Amino acid sequence: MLVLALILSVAKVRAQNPDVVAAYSFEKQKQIDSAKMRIDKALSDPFVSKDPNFWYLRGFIYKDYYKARESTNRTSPARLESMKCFLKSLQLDTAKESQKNNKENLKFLAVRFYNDAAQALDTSNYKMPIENFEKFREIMKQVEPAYPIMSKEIEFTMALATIYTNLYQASWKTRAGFLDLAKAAYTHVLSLDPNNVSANYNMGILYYNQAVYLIKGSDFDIDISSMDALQDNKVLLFKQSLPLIEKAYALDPKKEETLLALSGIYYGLNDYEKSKQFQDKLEEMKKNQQNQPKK
Amino acid sequence: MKRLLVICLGLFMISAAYQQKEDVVQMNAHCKAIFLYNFTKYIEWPDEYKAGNFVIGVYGSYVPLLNELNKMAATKTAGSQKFEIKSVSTVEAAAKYHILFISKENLGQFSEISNKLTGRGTLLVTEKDGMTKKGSAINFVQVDSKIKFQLSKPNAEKHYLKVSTALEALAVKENE
Repeated sequence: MLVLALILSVAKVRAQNPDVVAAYSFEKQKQIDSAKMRIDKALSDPFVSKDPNFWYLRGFIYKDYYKARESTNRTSPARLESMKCFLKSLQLDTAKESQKNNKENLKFLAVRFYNDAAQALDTSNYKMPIENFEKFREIMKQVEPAYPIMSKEIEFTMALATIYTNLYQASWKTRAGFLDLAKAAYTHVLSLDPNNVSANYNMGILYYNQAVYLIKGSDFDIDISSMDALQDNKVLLFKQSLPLIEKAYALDPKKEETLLALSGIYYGLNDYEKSKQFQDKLEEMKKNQQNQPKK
Repeated sequence: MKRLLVICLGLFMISAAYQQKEDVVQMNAHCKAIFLYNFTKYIEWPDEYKAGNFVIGVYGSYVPLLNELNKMAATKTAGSQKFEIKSVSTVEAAAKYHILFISKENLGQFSEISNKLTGRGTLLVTEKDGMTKKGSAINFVQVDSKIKFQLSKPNAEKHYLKVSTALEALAVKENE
C-alpha cells in the first residue's frame, strides 16, 4: 500500500528532475544503493528541495536503505535521515496530500527507535537509548499528539534511573555523578506522576543507600570531632528518604520492601522503637500471607 | 502501535533500587567502631598495658560490631600495638582487655563484670542512658538521631586510665 502511495505522490516531482526519475526507477527495482545515490544528487535542485513529494520519496528510499543495510545498527544514519525527510515532507505538505503516508512511515520509524532504546538500555550503553527515545518522542509528538507518550516516558525514565542506580551502586565511591542522574530521573518521573509507587520507593532508597554509604565509607581515622557533622549528613539523608518511602507505603501498604525500608530508616535514625514497629508489621504481614489458603 | 511498543523495560523496574536492613545495622556498628578506635588516641593506658596486643572485647552477641572492629584491626594499630578483637561471653578477671564493650542486651551483668575488672586498666564502654552513674567510663547515647558519648572521668580513673581534656570536651553531658 505504501508503494502505491509512493507512485502517486512522486508522479509530479519525478517528471521535473532526471535524478528523481532515476531514483524512483531504482527504488522500484529494489536497487537501493543506486536509488539513494540518485536521490541525493537531486538535492542540489532548488525546485525539488521545496517539494514535499521529493522529501517523501527520499524518506522512503532511506527507510528502505535502513531496512536493508542498517537494520541492526541502533544509530543508523539512514534511519535518522529518513525521519528528517518524512518530517520535512510533512512540514511542506500544506495541502496534506501525503500526510497520512508520511505519518505511517514516521510511526514505523518511531517504533524502531523505541524498541532499540528499550532493548539496548543497559549499564554499558545508556546514551544511545536516550537519543533514540528522544527521536521516538519527537516523532510521536508530531504524528500522533494524542498518543499516551507520558506512560512510555515514565517507563523509559524509570528504566534509565535503574541503570544510573546500578552504575552508582556498583562503584559508589567513584561514580557519584550517576547518583545525581538517577535522582534527576526519578524527580522527572515524579513530576509526571507524583503517585508512582516505584519512583517514590526507588528515590527514597537512593537517599537511604546514600546515608549508609556515607557512614560505611568513612575511614576509621576520621577525627572524632568530625563525627557530628558526618552524622548530621546521615540524618539529613534518612529524613529525605522518609517521606518518599512513607508515600510509597501509603500508596501500596502491602509491599514488603517498603516496610523493611521504613524499619531501616528508623534504625538509621536510631529510633529503635519505631524501627521495631515496622519490623513487627512486616513479620505479621508475612505470617498472614503464609496462613492464607492456597488458591 | 501499542502492541509493537511492548518491550523488555519491565525487567529493569523489578530489579530497581535495593536496600537491606543489615546495611543500617552495620552502619551504626561502623560508627561505634570509629568511636572506639578514636578513644585509643585520646586515652592513656597504664604502662603494663602498653606492650603486646591492644585487646578490644565485645561482651555479648554483637556480630556487626565485631565485624567492623575486625575490619579496623586489619589496617589500624593503637600506637605500636596491634589490635586483637575478642568476642566475650564470660569475663575472666585475669583477662587483659584494654576496652570492653558491653552491648545493651547484656547490661544485666554489668555490675558483675565491673567488679571483676576492678583495679584493671580496662575502659568499660556501654550503650544505655544512665550507665556512667553505674560505673561505665564511656556510654554511647542517642542525641538528635546521632550516636554520641558520655564520659565519666572518675570511672575511667578508677581503672587507671588518663583521659585527655580534648575527649572530655567532645563528650556530651548526662542531661544533654
